[in-house]
Amino acid sequence: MIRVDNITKSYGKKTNKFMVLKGVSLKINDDEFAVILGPSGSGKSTLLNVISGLEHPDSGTINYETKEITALSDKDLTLFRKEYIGFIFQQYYLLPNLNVDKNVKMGADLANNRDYRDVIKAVGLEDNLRKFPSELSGGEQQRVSVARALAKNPKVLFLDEPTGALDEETGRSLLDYICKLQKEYHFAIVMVTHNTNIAEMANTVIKMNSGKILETFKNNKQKSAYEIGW
Amino acid sequence: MVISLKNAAKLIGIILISGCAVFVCTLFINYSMDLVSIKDQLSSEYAIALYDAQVLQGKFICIISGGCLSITSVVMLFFYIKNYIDTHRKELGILKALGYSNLKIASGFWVFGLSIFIGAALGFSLCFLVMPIVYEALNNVDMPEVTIHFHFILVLYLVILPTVLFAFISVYFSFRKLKCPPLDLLREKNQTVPKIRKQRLGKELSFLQELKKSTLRSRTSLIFFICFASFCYSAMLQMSFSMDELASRVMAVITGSIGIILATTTLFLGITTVVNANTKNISMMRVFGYSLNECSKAILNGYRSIAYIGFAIGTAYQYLLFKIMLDIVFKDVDNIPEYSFDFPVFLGVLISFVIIYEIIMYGYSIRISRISVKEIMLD
Repeated sequence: MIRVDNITKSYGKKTNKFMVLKGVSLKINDDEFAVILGPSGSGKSTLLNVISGLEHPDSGTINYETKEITALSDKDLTLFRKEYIGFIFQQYYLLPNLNVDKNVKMGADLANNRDYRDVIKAVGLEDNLRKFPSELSGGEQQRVSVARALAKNPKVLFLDEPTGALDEETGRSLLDYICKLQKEYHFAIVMVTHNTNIAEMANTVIKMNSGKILETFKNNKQKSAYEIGW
Repeated sequence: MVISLKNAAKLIGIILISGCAVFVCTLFINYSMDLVSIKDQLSSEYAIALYDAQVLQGKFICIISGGCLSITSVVMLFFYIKNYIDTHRKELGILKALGYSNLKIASGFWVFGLSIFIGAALGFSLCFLVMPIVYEALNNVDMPEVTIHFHFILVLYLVILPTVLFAFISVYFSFRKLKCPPLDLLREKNQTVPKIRKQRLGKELSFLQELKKSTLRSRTSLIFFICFASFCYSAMLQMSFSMDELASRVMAVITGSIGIILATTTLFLGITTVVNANTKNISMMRVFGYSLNECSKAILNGYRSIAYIGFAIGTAYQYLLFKIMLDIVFKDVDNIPEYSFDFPVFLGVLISFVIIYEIIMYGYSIRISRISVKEIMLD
């Protein structure tokens, strides 16, 4: 379980100081699918970066089970990310000079996962192992980044607008893959999006604006990627 | 226009290498031309033999060193232009999309030829500053004294013509590079198919080993630069020690200084490019939990063996150069000391090379450690 208590985060100095997170608290359970929803500039990506250990908060605490990460040094945070976190970005960020197999191996090697090709198969890219990122469509590239993140067996998968650069059909297909894989590999999902329809797929929806959580609610029924609007 | 005069000033590598090339060539050609003026005064066979040997030595050094440095300048110029086009893909793509012709855009690249002018002018001027000391060292008691004369034709051949030639090469090379659809330029570099093919499926090598291999293969020009840097250090420093015994202290200092300048400049240029080109990859690896040590090793370690190969080639080169000089060029001249491979000098230069190389690599690993994990999000 992830427990976030009273997190604040600001950028800039003195007169230019801008408060992005203003005392945010939340809980995310194991195997949960949480969506952080909000308009541009609401602080949702910053919250994601802070929870995932990419950035230090100014104050407050973040606990993964009993492990508090806010007090960790950069070196320990790297170890923490290695052990706990998988990341999927809007822009994929695959290594351009390595083929699909090697890109996924990047994640797999961190967890000594020798069966990483199962994940490649699970995202439907088993026939593209030797292809380079530039030879794949946007949706396929994003599926490689999903496989890369899952090959390291993360406990929590963070997604920052993962469908932002994809068309509707590809976006739905990607979300469908992620949901199926969550059921198979059992990890928590924390997804940032501004698409209110995607929030219908989650167990928990956290609505943010101006650096604060406006509302948190549970969906009675989770919809599939093909049931939601777009 | 996207290319400005500032871009010429940034080409410090070409400026230094062309400067060194012109310095060496001016020194020996000018000396050879001045030698001609004393030819009629030579009376003994020994003096004539010495004269012939010195003329041949001048030609030899000009062709070997000047030629090598000129080729390196061309390679470096191509590297800079390719790098410039890669980092300004979008601007150039927009210009092409708007209807600018390849020639119109490429014509702006003449500015890169100015770096050769700066280097050549500096090398030429510096050469005339140190020339009195060098002439004094080269003057032989068995020959009439050679005095310094200014030969304007050298300005034409060593400063003006190279500038024009390199400006033309810059325009032509960029013209060739720009011959592609505008969309290819507008796309991100990582959206173009890499030249590396035939990667085997990953059972044999770990990801870090694969990354090391692909980093090395992705920019072959950098392999040349790293090899060249260690070659310069090895050859010129060992030559410098030998010259101290065989020729003069002045020549030794000049050769050693040129070696150190060329080696460090090229090494810095090469490794800085490697690190800059891999910033996003390093950042992504850090996001995933790879340690700084693992990132540094994967990006930098592949070049170590290249550096030592360059060092070995440099050692062989300087040995053969001296052998040929003394056994062929100066074979008719008396009192020339015997030349043999100087192992203690080799060992000393090797140890200093290892120390300097490792210090530089350590510096770059610190630079890598400063790459933020947030770099990945700064698009």
